[in-house]
Amino acid sequence: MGDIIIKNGYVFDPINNINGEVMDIFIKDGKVVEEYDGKDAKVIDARGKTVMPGGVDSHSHVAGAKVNRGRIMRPEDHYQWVRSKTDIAHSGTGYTVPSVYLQGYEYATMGYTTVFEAAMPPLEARHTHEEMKATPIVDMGAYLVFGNNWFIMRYLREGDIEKAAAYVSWMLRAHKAYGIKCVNPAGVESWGWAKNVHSLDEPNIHFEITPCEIIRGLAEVNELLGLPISLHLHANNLGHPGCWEITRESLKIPSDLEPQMKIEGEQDFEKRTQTVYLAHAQFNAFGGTSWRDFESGAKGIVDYVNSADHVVIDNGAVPFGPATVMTGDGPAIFDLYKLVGGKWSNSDIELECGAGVLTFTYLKSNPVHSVQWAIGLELILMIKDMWKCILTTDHPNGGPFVKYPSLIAWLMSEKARNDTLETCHKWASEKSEIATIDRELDLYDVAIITRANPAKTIGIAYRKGHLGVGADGDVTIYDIDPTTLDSSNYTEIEKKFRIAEYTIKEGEIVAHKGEITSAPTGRIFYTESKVNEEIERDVLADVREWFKYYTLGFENYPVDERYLRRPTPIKVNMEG
Amino acid sequence: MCEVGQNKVVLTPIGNFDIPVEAEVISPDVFAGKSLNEIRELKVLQGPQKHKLSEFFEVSGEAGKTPTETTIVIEGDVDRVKLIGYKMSGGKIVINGNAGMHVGDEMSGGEILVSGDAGSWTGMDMKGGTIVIEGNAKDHIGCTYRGKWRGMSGGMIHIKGDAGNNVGGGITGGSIVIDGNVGAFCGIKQNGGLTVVRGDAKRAVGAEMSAGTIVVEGHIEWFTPGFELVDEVDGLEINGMSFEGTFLKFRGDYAEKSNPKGELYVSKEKNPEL
Ligand SMILES: [Zn+2]
Repeated sequence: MGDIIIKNGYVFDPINNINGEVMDIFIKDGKVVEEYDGKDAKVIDARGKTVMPGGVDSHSHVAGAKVNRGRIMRPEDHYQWVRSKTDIAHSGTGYTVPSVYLQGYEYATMGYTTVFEAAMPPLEARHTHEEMKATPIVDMGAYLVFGNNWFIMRYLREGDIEKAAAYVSWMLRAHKAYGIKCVNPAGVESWGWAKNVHSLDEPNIHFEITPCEIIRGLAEVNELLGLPISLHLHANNLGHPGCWEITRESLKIPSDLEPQMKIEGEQDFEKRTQTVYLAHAQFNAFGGTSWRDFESGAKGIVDYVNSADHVVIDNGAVPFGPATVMTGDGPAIFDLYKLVGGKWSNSDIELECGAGVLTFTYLKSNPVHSVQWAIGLELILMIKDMWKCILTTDHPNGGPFVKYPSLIAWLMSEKARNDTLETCHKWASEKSEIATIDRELDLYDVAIITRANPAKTIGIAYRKGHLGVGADGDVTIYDIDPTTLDSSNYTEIEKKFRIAEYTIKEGEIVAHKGEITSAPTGRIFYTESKVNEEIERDVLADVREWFKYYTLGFENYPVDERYLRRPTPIKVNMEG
Repeated sequence: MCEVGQNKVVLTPIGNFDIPVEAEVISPDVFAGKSLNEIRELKVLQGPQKHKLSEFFEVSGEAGKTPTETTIVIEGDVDRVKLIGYKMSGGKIVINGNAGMHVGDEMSGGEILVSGDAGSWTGMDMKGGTIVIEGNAKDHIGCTYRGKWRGMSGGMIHIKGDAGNNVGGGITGGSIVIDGNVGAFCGIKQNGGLTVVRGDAKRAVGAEMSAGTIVVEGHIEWFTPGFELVDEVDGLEINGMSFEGTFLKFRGDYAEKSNPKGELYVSKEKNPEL
């Protein structure tokens, strides 16, 4: 943790309504503070440069069993993408599925300082924490997968929302997780029997519970507990033509709930306003009825998002090129595998969920891939309020996170989009609205969708995503002069966002022009919530009873703090 | 043996090649237009350590102005030097001795001639040009990298001796000719191009192939089960190469695809059990 003063830069800090003002940022002991003389502080002159809070990735896949499966499956992803060892940094390899060290360095070089793993199966929590522990520099946390959990399905089927909440509360504590992830609710359980569910009202096998009941139940549990992040939803029918419709209907389910955040000790900050956070919207915004009449379904999603105040989406964009597709939605991956072939892996996580992994390449010459590229951009450019969207690639599903700069360039430059439209399949312009959009995001918008809004959406804006007094001293300086920025020179935009001039983490310079200059250990955030003790006791009795179905002992289930680096519990709902 | 003259750089191995040296800088593309001193200063890796090329080679002669005008002659065995000729686009490399692993990886043009044996992964993912090995070669000749399914797309590899396992894995174009025998999995995942084995093959020839052509003039010890006999032909003419004798023509691999386009020609005389 350091003392540093960043002088004279053009500051973009949307949470504090600062739009390109020339300001000095003062950091002391790793936190943003009021002005001080700073005799011992390091001073960076950021004159003519762009200063933003450190980037926050609220949806990425960087740790755990499926990510590691991707690494194992893909030696060909590693041998040409390497970073050499230095005196302070490890070596590393891998493009779409980088090694743990490399992904920390790559995020830092790009100006990101906080990254959340968006799907941690409870049984794989220990593995996930071990990988996060080894990932340098960035602060992290992980969302726990619940949408097909036997205990949750049983309690929700019985209509016992309080027990469901007590179970979630215990699970988040036991596995040191941050929030609730819901993947293909009800469907993944049926996938254990080679089936799936295809509508919100279709009950699944054995538990006889519907996607609608699970989404509603988990959203209620989320607000009952007052968690920092809302439900993170991977909707049903993902990746199938026409899936935009079920996605919109899913988003409606928690529309009447009030967002509740009961974070102890944090009152006055930019709180989340959503009760559902839609993951990788691009994969859930397919139109048409088959691959033959496939088209963008973005408009249907966007129209709803524009009219609703309880939804935030991350776009899960496709920047073209290699990807590794990995998700807890096993049947979706299998369907894709049948379509394209390649290397496929599938796994079942007993009593909890599952996962599939597939190698993939998005080609400009492919009609469907070209439309997917367009959808990813439409899902930000057509949304009126930037506080409803977040830029992601659902790394590494749409593409690797190192491609964010290309996406920023497409969003900031109509010329960039038009030039790509000329080189990709004509379906991109014919089957989406991308060619008719002339909107160009500015640096303030980019700051919203890459740091301010991810932080707000996951309920961590009391310390991340802004540069107000008390915020973590995470700052990115890009070599971009906003007064001379030319959106038609998009290769320059891409280059500047790819390699930050400086990335500062808790007041320490961690990356400078692509070089790692220090590699501090980041924090792990997780949620500790409190519920009625009696209900928790009853729930634990159920858990112990049902534990006979697990192939491990109950005592070996929870993950203790030794597996975490700089464990940082967030206490919520302390009245119970 | 070799005249030092214009457009020719001679490298004489002098170093301690204990841990393999990664020398992708030994390429006409890198040497062209450089002075001898600049060439001596080029960096190679030995394990994690960077060294000057001159710590391993005595450098003499003179590089040409362009890659195509540059010939590199290596006077001696370089079994423990990897990646010679990596990504070269033209010119010539002559190795008077044995070559190490990954000779001519991803090359797109020019010639590599090896008077001795070659290591594994010779010509991995090559796109064009020619590699000729006078002796034997190890495994993965002209094969794509581990985990990859589409490799060599053009050019020619000629091994005058025997080769090991996985010859031509994943090739999509170009041709590989092995004058001697091969090990297992020759032409695995082949989906284009031509693989020729003048001698015998062990097993799994053409396994998982979906397109392209394999010719085996000798005996296959264990024939791949996913192939179906479609024809019998007298004499073959493929890519300007002619093959004498009667060949059984198979199509496959049906274990990989329902409608595969892979063609496997096998000498009838040498494989009476088929
Ligand atoms: Zn995801």
